[in-house]
Amino acid sequence: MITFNEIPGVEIPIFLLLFMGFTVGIVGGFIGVGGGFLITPALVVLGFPASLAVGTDTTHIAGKSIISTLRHSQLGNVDLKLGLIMAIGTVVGAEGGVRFIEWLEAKGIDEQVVLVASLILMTSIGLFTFRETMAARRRMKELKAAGKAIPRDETSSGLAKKLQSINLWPMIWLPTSRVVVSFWTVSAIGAATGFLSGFFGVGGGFIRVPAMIYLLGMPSLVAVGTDLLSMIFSAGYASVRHGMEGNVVALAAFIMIFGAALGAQIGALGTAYVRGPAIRLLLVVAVTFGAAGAAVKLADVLTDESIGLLDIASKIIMFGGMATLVSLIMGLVAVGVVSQRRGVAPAWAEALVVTR
Amino acid sequence: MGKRTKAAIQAVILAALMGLLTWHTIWWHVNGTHKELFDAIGESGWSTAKAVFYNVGLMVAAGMLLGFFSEKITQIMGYEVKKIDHFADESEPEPTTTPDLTTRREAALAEEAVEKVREPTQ
Repeated sequence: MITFNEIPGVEIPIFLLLFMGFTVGIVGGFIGVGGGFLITPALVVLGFPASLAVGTDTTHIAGKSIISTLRHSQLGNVDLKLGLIMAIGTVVGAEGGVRFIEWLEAKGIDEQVVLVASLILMTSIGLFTFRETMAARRRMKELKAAGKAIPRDETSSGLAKKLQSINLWPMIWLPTSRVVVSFWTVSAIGAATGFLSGFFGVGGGFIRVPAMIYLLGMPSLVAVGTDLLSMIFSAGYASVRHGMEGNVVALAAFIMIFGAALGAQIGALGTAYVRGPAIRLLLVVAVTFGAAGAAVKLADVLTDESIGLLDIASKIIMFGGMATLVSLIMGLVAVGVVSQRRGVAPAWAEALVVTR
Repeated sequence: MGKRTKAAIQAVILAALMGLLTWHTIWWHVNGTHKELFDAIGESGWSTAKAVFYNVGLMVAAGMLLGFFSEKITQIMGYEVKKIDHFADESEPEPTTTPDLTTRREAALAEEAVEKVREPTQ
């Protein structure tokens, strides 16, 4: 058990903090999200005040993203140029989001607006990604059935081509993603996703990863690695902001990063065994848990009183989310490893794992 | 010096640095320096900046050390991290197992038998 001088009376087993870090390390390394939707409520359950939970989690995410990015860059999943441009846009947008939420706070409607907006956004992202990924998966299966080669990644959305056709100087060539796109398109997407992450008070991976895939046309694995690079800067910036408010418990973040270091290796190295649709399907699962958590919180705010049932529901969502995501990722990676060794994948996983 | 030996030496150095960082963090927690930094936030610009940079610096240092340490560990283990070709098509898999010699031998025997049948008997 460890106590924190900054929060008197709170005692947490070190093992639990390590385990929480390990869990979000796997999830973050695999699908490129920070995991704030899992860790922040977990820290609150363990006795952290909400503001300190958010600040501590954000600080830990900044450190964890460095570990994941180092590994992803070895795998060739990081588009450095894009990541840095996105990071600038994200930080500027995040500041705008924070200012907007402060304005709503002054009006006294911040909590309801944030929860309704995050619920709508997460549900929309989840449904769109699910529908698109299933279509892509079907197409890959058809190619396989026809005896044709199947690509590492496949998307069925045409949005990216439309945005790439915007010919606004300066155009930039992104060799890792094999995309030519206007600097302003990238900056605008970075700023928009940053605004949303600042507004919702989250790292923003679940917004940025689908945005990079569907709006910029990047391969899913590159989107994951590049998002983690951007997250170093966006979470670092958020960490500075929270630090200035006295919302960071350095020791808790430091302990969690040890667990995250191991988890991040499993998550990041696991991407070498899967195809793009697998990443996107796992992202759908993560977003679903995030949306469910927001729905429960919204019910809590709207009923204006603490209901025991809602409290239990939020705990189930949080710990269930952690367990489900980790099991699915580990399971999928295990199938990928076996499939690569045997040179053949089970029929249901042909569009999800690589065999060579 | 072999690749693994070099990686092992680097891993030891990184582990030592990580150990020092951990020792420092625990020491500052025990002697109350963390609490002092935390309580001083907002008192002056300098004290706030000190606390903020400490938090960020600690995470960056831990992230870098653990990231490079993990890299060295996989090198020691002999796990080869290859760059992923994101645009490669996956054609029919090549045989990855050793060739089935029994089948080949049987085929060869069958071929020999056919040849024998074709040969006019002397």
